[in-house]
Amino acid sequence: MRLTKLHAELAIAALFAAVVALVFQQTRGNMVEQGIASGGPYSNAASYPEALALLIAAVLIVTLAPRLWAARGHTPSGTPLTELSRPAAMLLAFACYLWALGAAGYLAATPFFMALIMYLAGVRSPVQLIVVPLAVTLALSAVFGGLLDVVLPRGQFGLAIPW
Amino acid sequence: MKLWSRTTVFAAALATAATLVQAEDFPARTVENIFPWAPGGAMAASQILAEAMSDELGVSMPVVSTPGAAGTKAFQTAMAKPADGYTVIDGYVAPLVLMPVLGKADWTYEDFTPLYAAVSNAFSIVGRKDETRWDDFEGMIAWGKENPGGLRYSTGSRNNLPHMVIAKVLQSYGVVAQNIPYPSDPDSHKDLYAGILDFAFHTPSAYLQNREQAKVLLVLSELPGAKDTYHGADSIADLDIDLGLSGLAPMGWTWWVVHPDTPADRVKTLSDAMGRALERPEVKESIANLGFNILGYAPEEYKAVVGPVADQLRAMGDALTWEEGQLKALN
Amino acid sequence: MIFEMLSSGAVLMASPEVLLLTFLGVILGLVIGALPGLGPLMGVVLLLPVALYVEPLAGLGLLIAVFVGGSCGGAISAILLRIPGTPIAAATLFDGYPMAQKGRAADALGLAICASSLGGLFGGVLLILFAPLLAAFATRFGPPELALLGVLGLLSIAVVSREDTTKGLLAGMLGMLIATIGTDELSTGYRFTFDSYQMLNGFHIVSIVVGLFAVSEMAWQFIGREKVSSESPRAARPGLRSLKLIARHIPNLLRSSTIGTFFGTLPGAGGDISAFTSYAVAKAVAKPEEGYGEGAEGGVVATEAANNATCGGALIPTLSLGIPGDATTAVLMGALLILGLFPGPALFADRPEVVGGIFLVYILANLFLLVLGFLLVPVFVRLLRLPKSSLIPTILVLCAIGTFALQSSVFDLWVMFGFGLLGILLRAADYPLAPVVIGTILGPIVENNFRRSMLISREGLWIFTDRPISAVLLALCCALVALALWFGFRGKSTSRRA
Repeated sequence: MRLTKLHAELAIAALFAAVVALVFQQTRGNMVEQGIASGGPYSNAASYPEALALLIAAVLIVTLAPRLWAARGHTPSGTPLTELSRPAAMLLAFACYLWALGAAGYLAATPFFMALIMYLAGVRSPVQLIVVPLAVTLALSAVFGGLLDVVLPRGQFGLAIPW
Repeated sequence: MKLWSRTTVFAAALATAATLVQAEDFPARTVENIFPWAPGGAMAASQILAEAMSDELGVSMPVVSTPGAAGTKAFQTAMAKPADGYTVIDGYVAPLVLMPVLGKADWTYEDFTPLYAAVSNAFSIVGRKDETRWDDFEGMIAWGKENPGGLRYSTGSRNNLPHMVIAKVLQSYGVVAQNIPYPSDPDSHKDLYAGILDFAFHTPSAYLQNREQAKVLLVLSELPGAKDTYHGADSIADLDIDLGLSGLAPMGWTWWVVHPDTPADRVKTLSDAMGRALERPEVKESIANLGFNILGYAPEEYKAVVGPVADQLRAMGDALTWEEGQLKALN
Repeated sequence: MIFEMLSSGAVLMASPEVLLLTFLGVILGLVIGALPGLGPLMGVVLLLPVALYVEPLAGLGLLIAVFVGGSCGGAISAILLRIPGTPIAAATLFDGYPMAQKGRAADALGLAICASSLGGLFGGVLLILFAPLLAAFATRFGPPELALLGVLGLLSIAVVSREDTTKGLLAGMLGMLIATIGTDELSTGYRFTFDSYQMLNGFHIVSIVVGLFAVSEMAWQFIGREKVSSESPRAARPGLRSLKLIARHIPNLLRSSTIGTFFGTLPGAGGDISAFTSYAVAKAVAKPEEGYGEGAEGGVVATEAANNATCGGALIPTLSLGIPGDATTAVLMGALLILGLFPGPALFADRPEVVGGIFLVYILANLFLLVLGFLLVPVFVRLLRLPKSSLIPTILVLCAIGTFALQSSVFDLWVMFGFGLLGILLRAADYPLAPVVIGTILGPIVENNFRRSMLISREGLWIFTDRPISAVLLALCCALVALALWFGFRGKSTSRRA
């Protein structure tokens, strides 16, 4: 199984269709309840997103759909699924990192995340996998916390270096 | 696996070191002030105070601008953080009192633990010096009565406190005017002086910046000090009608507060530091230069001062709906 | 008058503290701008407390220098890593990164820094000579004019999205829709917030840009190759070569700086719009063989000259009217207020030495930028030689904490991640990313100013033709649309014949 540009195009088209549907679901539902879906420019917040959604739908139907239809027979070379496993792993690791920032804090999460990404990128030397993440973590903490007074995520345990 | 265990040990050591620091005296690190508006004159006042307070506390105290939804986003952001005293809410009246009164926030001012009352500033209604259609506030009101919906004015964003107070004034005179919302006050001032708007709300610092073109029509406070700030212009105390607004009710002010679950000893540390910061002469001077007044009410006075404001704002709540209804009827 | 201002300002400026802090400010600005997430605005916000400790002009020098350096720093990461460090550098990607790929990273950086500095100086000269005059002109841009300027900017999407206008339009409209999320300015109603307070102010533009460009780029680096390798770019030597290069682009430089200064003077329009607009103009007047979008020097010059000229432009209404030209100057104005200086006509009359001093530190910051640029280009280029395996995780961490630093919000991180996924999908389907950013920035300007115009107008839509500047802008929009349709039609018919 290979993922081709056409797959991505179809996914985007589906996304646009979903966005259009969501816009109308909101403007005809929630915005009516709030009383901001009718009247003049002072009170009508729904016309503009609706107009945009209609335009998107029009462009989708008039120009994009025929093009996708025409492309259906061709099977251009795509990327095999196996090659996508590494970027997928990276994104998964990144998502876990973002979650861990909130839960465990910057200091606890960052060295593990960096080591993991470096491992994914092919680094196997244990020294590198330990030294680089720790050095970068501390350096960035010094720049942000010490120099710029930014409070980095502290997590549930309130971990922070008092710069 | 060896690698991971080694990393874990190091991280654990790091974590212990950090926790040890936390067990020490409060505050051990940066205390944030969560400020509910975009940068501008009000943020400058908070920064002056935060600098002095940071000096008292011995840790830095950045002011973090978190604008959105008339200030309520800042409150919600701050309340989502741990109640450890490292987050102070810059409790502006709009998110603290007004939005709950309007039913747009699910808390009341009583849900927070107060530090000191910080600063206040008196709003004013400002027109242009080169205006030819009227000379003063009464004249403008007369013009507005003859031309329902003809006046265009701005209070920066819509449904904020100045909007409510001005709507109340207009309602008392039976004048319908069109409010024009803008992303920020200075944007509306530009259009006022370009002749697009008829009047706009100004804070003292905005008035001082524009005093060559600005004509103060009405000061929205009956306090004598406010009149002086605007160089003796007419105030609501000089009007024939009673708006039912007194003290802090028609003004912008902030009372710094913290999460109610914050440990009492930490609240006291913050409070004492803030109290001392407010006493500093250089803080008083810089804040006065901005056109703000130091309030300095102590935490004990919180309910006695804020309670009446909440009552008056509640009583005034229908002014905005009145204006909306009148504008709809005109169109 | 001007001479007195400058000479009394020069006395203030000639102190070691002012010179040193201005110098440091440029370096800090370059670094902050280059880091994904933080930009000139956050740089100025974060350094404000420091600036208040020192003597007034030194503090202002630091902040202005951070503004100047930060407006240029984003280009460094855009050119070297294909990650705009700031939204205003998003347009620098178009040609800066392809230049780097062709082994001309040092040239691209040199050009970017030269163009930034010279554009900034151009804006500075206008600031000094015509500040009150230009400010008065800018006040004539009311809601109708701003709405139409926004429309003009949106038309630039057609130019930017190269061969595939359909995809560019779709991406642009998606950006405009994304910008409607949050509290509606006029009705104060909540749109698409799904009862979450986090969404009340919409998505932060920096989360969007970092996600779309940086996160998707990092994922891209992981596709295919078994081991992520690092390229070794040609050694770069600092030098006057960049000045020679830029000499070929003088008309472009002047035009782009003028566009940048003009957008700067308009409240509500910032460096991002001016960079995109100036790029679109440069591409439209360029000959096809210059190869815009494939590493044309002119593209880098146009965007960088414009976004730094915007700094000088933005100072014009800030100082002479007390109306900040953009968010960063709003913070600068806050600094002035804290120091007891009220920007506005009175400041020019009462404290000419301060105004003169500010003019001079602005000019000085741009000169430092030029010198520092020459010295630091080789250092920056060395960044490319760092092993990618260490660079990628570092950039990802920077994306996360840079975005978090904006308003210390974990929600912003997830927004960034979401836009990272969207960016990957858009790239995979060959959609241009920049129109999403243009739409997000310009959508609210168009919508809110249109609705504001209709509220102000007593004759409905005629407000757009009754006001002279607005009428001219409207005619310009119509002409551009007509031209685009005409060329589009001719293009189609010729390709069919071929």
